[in-house]
Amino acid sequence: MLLGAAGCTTPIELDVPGGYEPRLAVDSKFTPDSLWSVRLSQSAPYFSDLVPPEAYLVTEAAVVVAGEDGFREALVHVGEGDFRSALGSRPVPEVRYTLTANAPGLPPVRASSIVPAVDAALIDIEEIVAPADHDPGAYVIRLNLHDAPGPHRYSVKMDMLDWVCYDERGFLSTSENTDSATWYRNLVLFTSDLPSMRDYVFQVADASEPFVPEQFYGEAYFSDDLFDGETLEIALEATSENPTALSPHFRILLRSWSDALWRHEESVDRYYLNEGPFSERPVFVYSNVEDGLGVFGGWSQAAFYVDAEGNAWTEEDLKTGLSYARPCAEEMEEAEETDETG
Amino acid sequence: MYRLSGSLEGRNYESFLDYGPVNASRAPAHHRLDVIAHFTKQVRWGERTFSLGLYNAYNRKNPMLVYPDSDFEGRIRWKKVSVLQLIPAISYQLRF
Repeated sequence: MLLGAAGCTTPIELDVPGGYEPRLAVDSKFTPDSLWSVRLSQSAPYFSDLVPPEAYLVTEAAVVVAGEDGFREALVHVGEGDFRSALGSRPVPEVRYTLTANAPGLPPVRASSIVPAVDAALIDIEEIVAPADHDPGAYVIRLNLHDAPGPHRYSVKMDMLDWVCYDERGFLSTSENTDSATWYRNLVLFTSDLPSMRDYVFQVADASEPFVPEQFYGEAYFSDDLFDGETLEIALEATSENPTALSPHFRILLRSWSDALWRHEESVDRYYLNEGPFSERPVFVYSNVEDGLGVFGGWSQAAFYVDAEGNAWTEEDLKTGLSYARPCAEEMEEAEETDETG
Repeated sequence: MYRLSGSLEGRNYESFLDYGPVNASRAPAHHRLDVIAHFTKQVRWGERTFSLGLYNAYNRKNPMLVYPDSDFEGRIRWKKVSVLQLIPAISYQLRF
């Protein structure tokens, strides 16, 4: 009885009629602020032996982007499956683009998408709590968003600058040197008076459902269901996790998403919230790529760079960029020399 | 399975499963042979039956559960769990 009741686990081979047919996976999230770029790879059987992901990159393909405004360009492979514009071409809002990709041995794919324009303006910034030694302070930032008729999906992302350097391990760290490079390392926490704003893309689907987060963590998502075709004033009450010696310099990015990318990100949220890849109800990641996988979509954005006094600033003025960052040890030596020479 | 970047700004790649059509795969077939012999005898007050049998007489490891798992080399393989293989059976019945 004991022998009969004993269980065992053995490896098996599943019968998959017809085998697995790889397909092209398109990874193209485009924005008017960047050159046309498409990354191609091919899907692999889940039970194939592990190989480096690079083995699945597609480096030979005919990739063409065409716009309804007459634009057309064949993208050039620049390495690692990346195909980019060699002519410096960028997407234009409100123009529908079609991507076609043909790679040897794989079914050709086609996708079409459009990024809506975003029409927004910064109204003002108001300090409501002054920053102190251990208090980052709090600010209210007001924006005007002019929504065009029809369904639109938006996100707002907020950063603050901090002085940065590279520590001995090569990781980005906060610098005390006021002449250091700057980067967006100070995460902004904010609340909003817009009731439909949500933490995750998938939560936006039902804007009527009450949702009161304590604070949004750097980025929030919303739709125009409650203000379709109208002009909306949005107030964001912002603070940060850490006080910084650098006077608050905010970057606010207001984005209008393409339908395809929004639906893709919404399904990715649900995919990761699912019980697991082989749960009772698997979640299919949305794709607008015909006969393929992945997504061809993007967003357009309005960017606002404003300091605590309401002055506009530029990344060039404040050496904003990782290419400016130096080792922290160098920064400290320089700071000590400066102190010694007075 | 395929991979896409997790964000527009970064290159943190995420892997997703391309499930394919529903019911596109088949687990191993489930079949077994049950054998039982009944020995019946009429007695003064009724009837008694003594039975001896074997469930799953050829000891097939039928799949009760199929799941993906990785081996010691990190390769992902399907595995099945089988329970209740060869089971002897014995019974004694009285009818009166």
